[in-house]
Amino acid sequence: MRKEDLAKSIKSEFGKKTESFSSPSKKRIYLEIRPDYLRTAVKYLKEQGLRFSTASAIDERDYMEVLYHFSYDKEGVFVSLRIKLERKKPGADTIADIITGAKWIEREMRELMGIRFEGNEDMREFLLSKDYKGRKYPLRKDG
Amino acid sequence: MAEEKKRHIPIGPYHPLQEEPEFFKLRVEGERVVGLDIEIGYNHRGIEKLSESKHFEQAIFLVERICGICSTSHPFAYVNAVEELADINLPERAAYIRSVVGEVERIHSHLLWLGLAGHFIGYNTVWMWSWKYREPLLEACEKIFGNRQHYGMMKIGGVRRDISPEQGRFLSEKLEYVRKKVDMLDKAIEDDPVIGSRLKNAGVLPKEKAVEYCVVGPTARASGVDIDVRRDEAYAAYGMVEWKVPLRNEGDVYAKTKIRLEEIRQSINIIKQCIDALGKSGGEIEADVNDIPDGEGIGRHEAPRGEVFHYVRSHGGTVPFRHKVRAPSYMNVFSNKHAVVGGTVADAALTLAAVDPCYCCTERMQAVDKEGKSVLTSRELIKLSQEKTYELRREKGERV
Repeated sequence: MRKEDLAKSIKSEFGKKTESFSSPSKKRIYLEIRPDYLRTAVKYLKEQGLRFSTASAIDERDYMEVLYHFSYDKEGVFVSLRIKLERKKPGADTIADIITGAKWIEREMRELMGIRFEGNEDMREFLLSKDYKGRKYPLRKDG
Repeated sequence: MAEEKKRHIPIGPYHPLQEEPEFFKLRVEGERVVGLDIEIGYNHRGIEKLSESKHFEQAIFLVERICGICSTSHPFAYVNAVEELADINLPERAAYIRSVVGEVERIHSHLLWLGLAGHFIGYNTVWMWSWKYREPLLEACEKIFGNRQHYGMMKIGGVRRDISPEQGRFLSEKLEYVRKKVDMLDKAIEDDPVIGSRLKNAGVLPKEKAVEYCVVGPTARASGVDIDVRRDEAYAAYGMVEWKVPLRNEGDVYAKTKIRLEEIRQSINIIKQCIDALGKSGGEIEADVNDIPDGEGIGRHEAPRGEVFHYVRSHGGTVPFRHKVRAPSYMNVFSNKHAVVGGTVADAALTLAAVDPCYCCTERMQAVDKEGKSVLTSRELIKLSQEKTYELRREKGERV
């Protein structure tokens, strides 16, 4: 489908579950959704043929944010799903069973940001050394 | 008959076959690989955290050093992200120059891989020749960009150096030479039945698995997944010149090899058109850049290994508030969980190398038995791969 139709289709599908919607350019769509809607939203984007590119976790000090970036390669459009989590014990549902390619980035976000992904409990060291004796979550602003 | 025991073959972390450290633990039954565990992180340097203490321009030099073979890929994606964030328009001349840098890098990166692949299968002549044909390009990089690698060409809003007509001609001559040699190597690979036996049907990644693992680059295109950031997003000069995205369906090491060879040819086309365009008119090579405002931006580049992704968030200060980097090998290496399993031990090392893994970008091989005892070292694994080739050549009547 064309990029204009993609935006319309997402808006109508997600409807009231969207906290905010912005399209700063023809190639970028940012959608904030409630964390409990994440899995449904991801399944929908996968069905529409979007490719999961990666996820980025951000420590905004008052809260944590995770952006899931999907690529609609046919039209060169990126759709980024934004969820906001409380900072003390941030947690979200895993999407690794829906998208195998998301397994590693969830492990990375757990290790570096301390975000727990319900359903992806692989607690093995990933990037950090086994004997890392630094502060607990290094990518946090107080890490 | 003795029961076939399950064994583990570790490859890595420091392995002559690979440029950077990573750890692959192959679980083997007899000659078959039945499982794969991957451990990365040996090269983790905390680049994203470091970036948060660098000025936006300094971060370019930081990310350029993520990788030593595709060094411009990360700056390319990063400046795209910042320019999107700050709504900076890239001058046309800078767009052409950026594409020249990106494509010269693609060619010499693919030739490097070709050499390594040749070495893994015991064809050291392919190795020596591929690396010899890289040299004119690295010479051109030094002459035009100032360095063989880590060119320092990208800046926010433009490029650091122009390309003069004389430099354009110098590069074009080198490309003509390389084109002839690549055609020769391609024909040799096509015609040699032993190379065909080694590469064909080895490490197959079917299309549905390529999609499941979200692979990118030549790894994806060799499995029928038609994606290329240069075409899909048409950044820099890629939407202003004529070129094609090669695609194959076999998903094996042979398909990945052919894709890379064809990409070299397409890169030569792109560079030639860019040099022509640069010769026709002048123009600025950088835009005026003010302070980077509050906001966020996504920047991508089709590196030799696939899509490089950078995300930058600014809170209006002088440094990135958050800088997320995702290299292509992060997605591609994981797909080995499928590609290597079911193949033979002799093919394992080649399959692992076929995604052209760059661990520095990603973060950066041992066979063990059930008790965790090493049964084959890395050196023995390469030898196993090379000996498979020698055996095939002897069967064909060649003296080895």
